[in-house]
Amino acid sequence: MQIKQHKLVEAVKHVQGKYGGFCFGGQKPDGVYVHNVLPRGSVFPNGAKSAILLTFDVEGTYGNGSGDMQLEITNYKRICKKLSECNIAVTFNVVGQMAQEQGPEFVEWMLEAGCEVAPHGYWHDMNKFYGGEHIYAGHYGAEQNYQQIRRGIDAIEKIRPGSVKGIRLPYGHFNEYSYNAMAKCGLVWASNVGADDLLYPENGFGSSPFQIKLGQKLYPLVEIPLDSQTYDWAIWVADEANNAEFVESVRTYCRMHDLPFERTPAGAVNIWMRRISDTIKLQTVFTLLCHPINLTIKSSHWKDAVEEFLFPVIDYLCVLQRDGIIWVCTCNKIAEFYSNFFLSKGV
Amino acid sequence: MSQKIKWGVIGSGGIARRRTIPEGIMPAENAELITVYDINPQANKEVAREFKAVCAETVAQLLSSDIQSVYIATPAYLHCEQVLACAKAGKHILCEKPLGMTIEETEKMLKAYHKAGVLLGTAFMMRFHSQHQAALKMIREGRLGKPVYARAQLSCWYPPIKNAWRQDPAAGGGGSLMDMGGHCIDLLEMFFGKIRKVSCFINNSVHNYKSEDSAVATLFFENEAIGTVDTFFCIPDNSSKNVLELYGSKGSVLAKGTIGQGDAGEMTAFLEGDAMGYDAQQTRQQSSGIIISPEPVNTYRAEIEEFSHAIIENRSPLNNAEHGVQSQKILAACYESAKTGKIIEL
Repeated sequence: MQIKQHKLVEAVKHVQGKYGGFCFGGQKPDGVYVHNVLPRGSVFPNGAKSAILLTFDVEGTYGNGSGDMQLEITNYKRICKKLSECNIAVTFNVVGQMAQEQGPEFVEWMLEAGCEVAPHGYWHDMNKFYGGEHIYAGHYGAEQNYQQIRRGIDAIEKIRPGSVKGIRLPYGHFNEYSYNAMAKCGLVWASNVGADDLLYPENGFGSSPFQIKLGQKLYPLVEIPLDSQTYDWAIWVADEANNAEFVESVRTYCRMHDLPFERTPAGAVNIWMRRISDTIKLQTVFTLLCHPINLTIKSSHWKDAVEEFLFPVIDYLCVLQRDGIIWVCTCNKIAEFYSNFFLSKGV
Repeated sequence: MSQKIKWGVIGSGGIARRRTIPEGIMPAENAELITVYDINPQANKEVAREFKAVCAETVAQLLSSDIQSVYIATPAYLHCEQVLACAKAGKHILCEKPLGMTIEETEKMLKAYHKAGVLLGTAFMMRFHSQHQAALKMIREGRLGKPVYARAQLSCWYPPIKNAWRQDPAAGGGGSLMDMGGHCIDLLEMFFGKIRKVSCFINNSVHNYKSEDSAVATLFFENEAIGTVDTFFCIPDNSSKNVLELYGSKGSVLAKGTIGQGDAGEMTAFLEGDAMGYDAQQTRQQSSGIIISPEPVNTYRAEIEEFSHAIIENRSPLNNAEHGVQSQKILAACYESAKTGKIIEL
């Protein structure tokens, strides 16, 4: 019996290598195994038993977003100010080419706010350098993947030497060559796989960090699963016609959680608040994802998406962290916590 | 001609002979039966003759025959040893539930199959029932709203029989809970997601064999839904309707007789508000609910075809080993709860 795949994005397997592929839209990469999951109820440094990671994929118009890159860059100043005021440290995954060509100022704002900056590849779409139609890491071999990762790291470390500890690959698409390159570059975390899949739960990797194994090879990297179902909700829902399946997936989330499906920033904030409150109830870890380029899209649904969508979430995280209910941390911090946790157990 | 996976069967005399070989392997489009083995040589010869298979005299002989995959249908206490032997021989394995006797055994099996690079599946064939798949689709589409409560029942009359391994925990791992409750728990996890904590009562209400003949488990899911599984070896067959009840904040799916070895049963959905827009094929609206009656699927054939497809496509099967390990953990927690009287967190 063949089960029909849910399709948010085109089904794209790895083309080179034996393992990998996409983790989004009802797809599951080949040969990916979960090892040493961080157990539920772990006590984090501030005493909380739940952790939330707020992560941003900083792509400008180097990726597939269609907003105003200059406005996006300007927005980082007030986003960083807000984060700093709220004592919230997040991870910005910046496309290396964008850091190099549009930076360094906005990257410096992020670092000065106490946030982590990691590469989101060097090229968002690898064909922009290698030509042809193949845009994903899994289309390429060892050398191209190494270049994608090494140059991404170098673009950030040119601004802050020695600061890069991990990476999120564009589209979360990968093969073993990607992970070999990450390990070779000494990275300690990666964040590529989807936490959950609403229609095909077996495709989700769970939201807790784990050590990734591809085939028989266990990598010395902490894999941090991310929200692949309800990210950027307010933005995508503004354009339902072109994102029907994505929106349907969010509708399903609302139905299954008894949440109203409201096409407003407040409706979107409710969804993320539910994600956060579920994380607290389950005493686990959850990684939120936002593409700030989409916060620059003009829509009749909002006046200022940064103010109406992002800031209420930051305020909410601030209060929960202040009260010791959650630990808000960067990818590097959770990777450090993970390593110490298993080290203390002699694993 | 499409590719066919060559199958061997260890434990050909029981459920394999009654169901999995005639309904699963023989009619499957992508499978063929090559070799069979059973501890009872006479029964094995009969199976080999009936299904035109090679009769192996030992497990080693079966594993050295020209097969790619093995279906294991022996008592639970033999599973670990046999799975390890199959993995060592480089054969893919579909093993009957429970996967092992203990969590430690199942984890040992997982390590062995990872190391061997073969596929290991658990024979939870009830997942493939077409009405269960229809209900699952409705739940995943959010038609029932927020999952609230689920009940799965599987009971029968199973009187004391000499040497019956299901009646001796040393051979079967447990009684009605281990044997039939495992299916119910697995189904409820398929519908409502992972279970977070359990409490359980077991008893010998009627029969005095070593395994329990009565069990009721209460389950608390990660999504905060609650579930119950009731499974008895001491209720007459006709008295237990093997009900499946799935309730959400916007409706319910109620079924009789879908849990079991057959492909039939009755299933009705009761939906409220916007969920009423459900318009699946092969359903009809009645004032008393929506009858869910998709084309029946033989669950044994579906399970063999899916596992064979997974081998051909080099991917994880839908009935993968992880489901077996998870089931083992929940069952162990249920028995611990029954023994200690405590709620057990998973």
